[in-house]
This record gives sequence, C-alpha cells and structure tokens, in this order.
Amino acid sequence: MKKGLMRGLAGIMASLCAICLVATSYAPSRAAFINTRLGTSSFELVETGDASQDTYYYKSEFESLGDLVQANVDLATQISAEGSVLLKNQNAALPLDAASEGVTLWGHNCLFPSKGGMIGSSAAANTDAGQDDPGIPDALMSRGFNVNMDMVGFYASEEAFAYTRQTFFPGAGLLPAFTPAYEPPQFYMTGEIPASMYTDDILKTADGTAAVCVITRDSSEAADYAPTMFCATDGDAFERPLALSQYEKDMIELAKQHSTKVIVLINADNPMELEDLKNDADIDAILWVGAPGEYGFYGVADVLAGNANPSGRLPDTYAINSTSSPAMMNFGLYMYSNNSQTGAAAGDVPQLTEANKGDWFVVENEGIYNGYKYYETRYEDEMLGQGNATATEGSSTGAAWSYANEISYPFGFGLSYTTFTNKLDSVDLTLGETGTATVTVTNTGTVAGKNSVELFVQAPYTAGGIEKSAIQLVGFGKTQILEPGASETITIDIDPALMASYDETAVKADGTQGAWTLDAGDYYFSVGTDAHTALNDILAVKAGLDDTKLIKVNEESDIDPARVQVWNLAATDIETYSKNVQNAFQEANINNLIPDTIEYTTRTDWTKGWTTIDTLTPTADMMVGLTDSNYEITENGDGVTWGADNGLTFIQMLDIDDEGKIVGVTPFEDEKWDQLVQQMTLDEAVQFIECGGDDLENIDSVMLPRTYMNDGPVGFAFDQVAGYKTRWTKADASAPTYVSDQPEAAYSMAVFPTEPVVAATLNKELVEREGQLMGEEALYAKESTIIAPGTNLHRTPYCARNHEYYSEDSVIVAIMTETVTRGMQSKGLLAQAKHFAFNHQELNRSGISTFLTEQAGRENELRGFQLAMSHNTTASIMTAFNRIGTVFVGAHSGVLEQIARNEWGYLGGMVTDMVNGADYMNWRDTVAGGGGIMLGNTPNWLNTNIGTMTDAKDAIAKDTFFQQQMQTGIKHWIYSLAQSNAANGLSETTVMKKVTPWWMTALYAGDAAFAILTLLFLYLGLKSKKKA
Amino acid sequence: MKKSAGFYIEILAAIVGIVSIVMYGSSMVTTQKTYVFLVAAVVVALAGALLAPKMPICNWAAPVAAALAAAGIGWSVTVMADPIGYVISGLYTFADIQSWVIFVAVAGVAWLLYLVASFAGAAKEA
Repeated sequence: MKKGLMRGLAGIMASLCAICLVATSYAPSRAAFINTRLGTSSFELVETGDASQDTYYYKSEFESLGDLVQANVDLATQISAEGSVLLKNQNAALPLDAASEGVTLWGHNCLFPSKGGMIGSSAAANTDAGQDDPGIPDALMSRGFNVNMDMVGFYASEEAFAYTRQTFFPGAGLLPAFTPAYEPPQFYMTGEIPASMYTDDILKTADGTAAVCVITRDSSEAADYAPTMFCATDGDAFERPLALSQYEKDMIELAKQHSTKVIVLINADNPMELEDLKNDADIDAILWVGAPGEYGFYGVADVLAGNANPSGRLPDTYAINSTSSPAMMNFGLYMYSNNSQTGAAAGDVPQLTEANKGDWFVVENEGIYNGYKYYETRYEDEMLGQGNATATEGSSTGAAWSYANEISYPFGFGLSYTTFTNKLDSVDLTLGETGTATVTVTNTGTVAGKNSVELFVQAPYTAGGIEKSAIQLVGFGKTQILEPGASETITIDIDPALMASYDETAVKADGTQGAWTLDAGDYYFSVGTDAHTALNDILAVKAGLDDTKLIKVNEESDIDPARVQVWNLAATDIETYSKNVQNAFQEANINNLIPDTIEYTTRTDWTKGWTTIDTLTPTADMMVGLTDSNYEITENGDGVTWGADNGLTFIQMLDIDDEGKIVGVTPFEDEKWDQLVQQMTLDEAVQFIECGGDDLENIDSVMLPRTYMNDGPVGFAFDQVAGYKTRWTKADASAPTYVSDQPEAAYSMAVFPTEPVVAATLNKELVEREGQLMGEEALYAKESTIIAPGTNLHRTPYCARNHEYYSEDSVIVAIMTETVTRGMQSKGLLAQAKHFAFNHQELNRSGISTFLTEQAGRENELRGFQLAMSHNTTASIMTAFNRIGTVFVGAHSGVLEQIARNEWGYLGGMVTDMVNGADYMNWRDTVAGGGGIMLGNTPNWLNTNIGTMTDAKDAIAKDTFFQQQMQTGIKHWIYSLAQSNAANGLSETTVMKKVTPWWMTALYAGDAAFAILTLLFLYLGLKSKKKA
Repeated sequence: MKKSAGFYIEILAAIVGIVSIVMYGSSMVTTQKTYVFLVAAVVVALAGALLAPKMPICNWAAPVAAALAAAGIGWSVTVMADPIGYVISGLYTFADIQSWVIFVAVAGVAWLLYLVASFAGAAKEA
C-alpha cells in the first residue's frame, strides 16, 4: 500500500513538475503579455547620468486625468452635435422647446441605441468605476427635457426586453463571423416590438408630447449586411435590412396618432432607405445621428433642444433603394469554381484547399463610379441626353432611369435651423501648388449657426476618354457661428492633384506607363449645398439648364450660378503629379487575367456594368497567388550586418534642443539609421517582426523599450486596454502622467463618435482636436500607437464595418485622416491608418481576391490614404486581410513599395492585420514584399508548410535580400517611434537593465519544488520496496 | 507476480491516450511536441503494464506516463493561447476551439487514469 501511495504521489508531483517546466519554457516568449497584465516588467530603465535632464518630451496639457476625461466628454458632445445631419424639418418642428414640450421616446431601441460598433470600435464605459454611460433618456433629461418615463419603463419591461436585438449581448443585432463563410449573412434583428404590445394606457401617456422615434441599425467588424437577410426579431419583417421594418413602421404610425409632432432619429451609420419618411407629411423632422459614441447623445440632445444648430453633412448618398448602385451587383459571396467546398479541379487547375483561404473573390465592376460619383454622373448624362443614361439598366423602378426615382438625400446634404447663402468669390490655381477658393457665407435666417461649405469640381470630360465623375469634392471648410445677417469669408485649400484622373494608358516622358492626368479645358467649381445641388449649379452655367429641366430632390435646394467659378487649363498635363508614378497593380484587373470577363461601368454607355460575376475559374497564373506564392528563403548575396558596435542609441536619433524639447529627428536618408539597425542582432530582428504587431517589442541593442499598440478608431478599445492604468508599473511612478488609483484610472477610453459622424462635421478643427485628445489618452495610458483611423472607403451601404471608415468619398477620407493623424502626432501618438487597402467587405475578408481597375483603386481607395501617408502624418499603416487580385495585400510590392514608398514618399512602419493562421498571410511573403512586421503570433504556422520565423532563422541568415527587407521594415518602424512618446523617459545616459519579474521567479521555484517532491516520493517508494 | 486492477486501468489509460492523440489532429492548432509526449506516454504505459508482472520496477511506468501526458497537454495549451484569447475577446467563437477542448478533456481523463494506475500498480508486489 505504501509503495503504491508513494508511486501515486510521485506521479502527481512529476505531472505538476512537467506542467511547470512547460510553463517556464513558454512564459518568456509571452513575457510582454504577462507583464502588462500583472503590472511587472522584464527590464527597467536606469539613469546613469546626473538625472538633471527632463526626459518627458511629450507632456500633457492637462493637470489631471479627470480634466482629460472631461475634455473628452465635451469634445465628443460637440462632435456629435456638429455631426448630426438634419434631413427634414417642416414647419420648424425642431428645435424642441425643452421647457414646454414633453418628449416621448418611441421605439424599443431608444433603450439600446447603437453608440459604436461591435468589436474594433465598440463604444464602452466602465460603469463599475463610476464612468458616465448616458442613454438617450438620460441625455435628453440632462438638457432639461421632460421625458415620458412611463414609455421608457414600458420598453424596459420583461415582456419588451424579450425583443431586444441580442446576438452576443443586448444591443447587438448582427452576428459577426471570423471563420470562412460559405453562405451570405442570414439575418438581422431589428429589436423592435409589435404594435399590439402597446396598451391603451401606455399610449395615452404619449398624448400631447413630441415623439422622438429611434430607428437603429448596428455596425460590426467581421459582419456585413445582405439584401437577402431575413428579420430575426419575432414577427417582424423587412424588404431589406436597410429599409424600415414593419414593426418600425407600425411604431411610427402609433407615434403619429399620439403626439403633437414626430421626429425620427436615424441611429445608423449605414445609409438607410428613408424615402417614405421623407415624403410623409406627418413626419415633421428627420435627424441622422449615426452611431455617436459613448457621450454622443448629449450632443444629439443639444441639437434637439436648439443648444446647437445642426451643421452636419451626409458623408454618404442616401438612395431610395439601397441596392441600386452598380457596386451592389458584386458585393457578397462569390466563389471560384475550384473552391475547397463545392468546387472541383478544372483541367490543370487543381482544387483549392481550406488552408489556401482563397475560395472567394469580388469584382468591383463599378470602376470609379462609387457612391455619388455614379448617381450624379449618370444624372448629368440624363440631363445632357448622353451615354444611354435613361436606359432601364440600373433603374430602381424598372422604367427609364431617372435621378428623381433614385435618390432621397444626396451626398453632402444637410439642413440648418437657419438659412445661408454661399458665394464662390474666387478660385486661384496653379498646377504644382496649393490653390485656394474664397467663399463668402451669409446667414440669411433668424438663428445663429455654423455653415459647412463643400467645394466641388467638374473636370472636362470627353466621351470615350478617361472615365470621369461629373462632380468631385476637392475641399471643404466651416464658418464660425454666424449671427443672423452676419457674413464670413472662408478660404478652402485646393490640391489640384485631387482634380486629376489616373490614366493607365498614358506614357510619360521617361517612358513609364500610367500617369495622373489633368485634361485641358474648363474646370467648373461650385459651392452648392450638396453634390447634387453643386452639379445643378454647374449644369446651369455650363449647359444653360434651368429648374424647369434640372431635378431637385429637396425643396430646400436651389440653383445659383453665383456659387460657380470656372478655371481653364490650356494644355493637358500628365507630368506634374506623376513623379515616380507608374502602373503598379494591373493584374488586379480581372480582364487582364481572364480577358473579357466583365464590362466595367462606363459613362459612355450606362447599360454596361450591371453584370454579377458569380464564379470564376482561375488560370494557372492566378493559382500561384491563391496557393503557393510563399517567398522561398534561399542563399543569396553577401549577407548583411547584424550586431555591429556602432555606439548609437535610439535616443541619439532625436534632435533635442537646450530646453529639452524634441525639435526633429535624424533624416531618414541619414546612414545613421542603417547603422542603428545594424546594431540589432538577428534574434532581436526576428522577435521584432514576429511578435511586433501586438505591441512593439523592446530592442535592447539600441536602447528602445517596449511600447504598446492597440485599437481603435473611437479611442483605445476597452477590451484591449482596460483603463488608463493597465500599462503602468510601479517603476513608472515618476512619470508625470502616471495613474494608478484615481477613480478615472479604470475608465474606458473608447468614447468618441464613429467616423461617419466625425466626417459629417466637416470641421477640421474638431477632428484635429480629436487626434490631440487621443494623443493625450496615450500619455495617460502609456500607449504609443493607436490602430486608427479606419481609412477604407464606403463602397456600398451594406458593409457593416462602414462605421470604422469616414465616407464614400475619398477626399473626405483623405482630409479627415490627415487631420486626425496630425493631431495625434502633435502629442507623440503614432497613428496606424487601416486597412491598406481595398478592404471593402467583411464577409470572407481573410483571403478574398479583390479585382478592380487601377484607375478606380487609385482615385478612390488609395486617394483616401494618400494625403496622410505622403505627408507622413500617419506614422504607420495596417495592411488588410484581403488579396489584391490574387496576391496578399500585405505582401504586394506594387502598392507597398511602388506606390506608398516610391510615389508618395511614405516613411512610416507597416504591419499586417491579425495573423490568424492563414498560409497566404505569412511572414515570408510579408517581409519580402515590403509589408513590415506581423500582428499576431506565429505558433499558428507550426503545423503548416510556413513554419515559424524563429525556426527558420539559420536559413534566413543566408538570404541577403530577405534580411535587407527585414532591416528596411524595422528601420521605418524605429524612425516612426523616434517621433513618438516612446522617447519619454529616455536620455543618452539611460541604460536598460534586465530584471526577473516575480512570476518568473515563482515558476523557477515551482520547478525546483515539484522536482524535489518527485524525487522524494520516488526515493520513499523505492526504499519501501527494498524493505519489503 | 499477478496482474492487479492497476494493469487494466493502465491499459485503459493507454487506450484513452491513443484516442486523445487521434482527436488532437482535429484541434485548431497543433504542435509536434504534444504528439511526441502523448505517444511517449502511451508507449511507456503499455510497456510498463505488460512488463510489470515480470519486472516490478515497471510499476513505475504509470507515474512516468502521467508526467509525459501532463507535458503533452501543457504544450498543446501553449499553441492555443492566442485562439483562447480570441474566444475570450469575441474574435473567435467557442466552436473554433471546441475540438481542442474535447481533446484536453479526453487527454485529461487519460492522465487521471495514469495516476490511478500509479497508485494501484500494474502488478502485485510481494
């Protein structure tokens, strides 16, 4: 018995010892993660000098964290107020009089509004820590409204709660999917309740009050809407998920019967179908508020109460039928004929495997005609009787196409409680220089307010020539608050490059093909109040059309030639904006791979471009990218230098003045950067690339401490950075922004409005301030990089991640991105614009082949990134999950090296999106293609043919080209970090000293203890045996 | 020496161990180390059970197998750390790691059986 007991105990101890040894072996590779959770560190910075230097180069402007939190509340409130767009306001129904008008909130979603989106842009508040988490009723009451709490209580009842949209948690109506999808998204939950649930008693409580009806649609990463979705809320139904559901219509009907006036709040970032509401005389007002963030309903309440006069402008087109654009012909789930599930090999083309993650594709058939560029261009051709514009193809009614039957609210539309006139005084342009437009704005109404001014241009178009939109935004500005009768002249900068079209066939003087082209002719500028009105202005001037012919879709719109200026270019120019430019992704055009696959949308004939490409059989060339494109590590070249003793440190690359302020960094071209990188060991370089994406790993050889990097566009994500105090250790206690036990230290930072709301403000001052406050958040949270802003384009209304991106228009995206990142940069926060590029749908975003023309890609999506990257205000970018053509975008040297580096002069770092085990998204291709470093961890590749970078280190050491690419990618990152708060706390006499955190000591102790106990029981067992 | 109940438990543990190895193949991410340790545990357990009646020292095979199985399970956890984290954060669903969880449960049963066999011994000793 005793022998058995000793044996058993030895087995238990040996098992515990084995587990402890595994943990001891594995834990160092995850030291950074463990340290952040336990508030420990594996190194400490030791000052070896006299410590007289102030090493906090980026300082907070706030005296306390509490002041910063309040500044966030104030700014978020202002952004949501200025980002709310008034779409309809008959009989001056708005603003409400909070003192005399009682308000009834209608719609079950008034209790569960969409404040952000699920996952990457989840708005969050830590109520346990006392953070404010205002709902719509709270926000209205905070502004003095008398809210009908009987109705609120009714919606909160158990019976009503059963209808709550709830896939993951209350308030989530979409179901995200991170795994490959072989069916389109199936359902959406509206969360609305049936009219039959309203009792007479509860309806009577609304009598004599103003109705505020809340219509909500969710947003989410990893999810899309689909026109074929069914409504999963019990008993409810809709024609399309972006149309009103039956329960929502019924709820509004009840509101009409029991209220003095009806105001509808559109709480959705995806453009919904609003034509019925627009035309319903019993609907007094419609206010689009998007997903306004954690505190945003305060701003909405300010608009409703008249504390703020709405000045927002729609960042997207609101079509009568949300599926009517050509882009919707190819959006969703399309699979290669040789896909891994239902497909089969075709001739010499083998079947794909699940590991390829290459089953899906999308052909962006619309060409350049995205959003308003389609609707407005076809409208001009309708007016001018050209291009078969009135053909039935693409018509929502089935009859001849007419703009009047297609659009509810055009891009850029938005009303005010007052009225304004815009006069375009002058346009001053010279190619190669920044031009200006001056606009005089006059408040002609009776209420003070700001006016947003959008500057549009029409470039000369020749039938059969380069495809061109009939109207293009080129800039915008905003007045200060103008009192009634007051005027202000504002200046809008114009970059003539934004007027240029990309001609894939142009051959420049240096013989290279592909150029930014400005055609000779008249350029018409207009400051019309939206894209459609601006075009009407231009058509009035250019073609002499008047309002007997021109279509106005809104009564408030007028036609005013005073808003137009004409600028003439004498000769076509293909050189000024084409330095280093040449075609870089021609293989993304499916017609260049499989001839005549598709007719792209063209204004020469609007009957074309309406084909759905629902299957393709890849060619053998395409299969290379879809299957085995992995860069092979080979022995080549003369090697590179690692571990050099050049005596440089990271901090020496900064230019610090006598007052201790950073006044610059060593120019990127300086060979010191190469020498600094050469000080690294190959091990450090592998670690930086392999593990750098989650957080940026420390590089001891150059004295660069580890820095932190987290989502997202509405502020640091609460599920990744649980409060300001998360990253701090006690060793940091001397830092001026150190926080530990203040009440606010556990607050969520994910509080800002979503990007469409930010875009709608058209207020660059607010946007730059948002970037500055995010930079302040970084100082108090010890973060150096924020994975934001989202910079992709709204290709269709159906991408459920549109809330992380600004607009359907690339110029708004570009200016917003450049502005917010400039604000971040001023505070030492590295921005990471994402997802570069062509991430236009979430369904099967991992691996989908995106096919498009180079002209469309450059003029739309890439233009949105270009400003911030060419000005280097975004210090890093995150590459996307998708493929361009069949090549992983994070390894596509055409867009990464040719366009971003060579053409734009982008100097920042690059990192992949989250590596999720897919073979196509691997370290070999990424590094070789110029894609920088990896977000994720490479155990995912252990059981694939990729293997880990660590295991391949010996082979890498013989591949000169690959190592050069490694050094280049890392150099860009260190250069970026030198412009960040990562320098805080470092001086030239600071050294990094390795320390063993307590948890590692505990593991060692566990190893020893369990080993001793195992040996003890082994001894006792054997001794007992001998005795026996 | 006679076989004891531990003999049958050890054989059962080895069979369950083999099942766990087969199931590990369907786990989301796998590592060769886990295969090596789990196979070694099965081999040691089977050899110990069969040889113990003639070689009493082989009764010590069961605790060795338990330690090997524990190491195998431990290594499987290390490569699943990311996916587990993604499930917690909502990026993956539980279904994504379900195969691995079932594997851990089965391998855990094998480990417990190895421990029971350790106490019981495969063969009665004088």
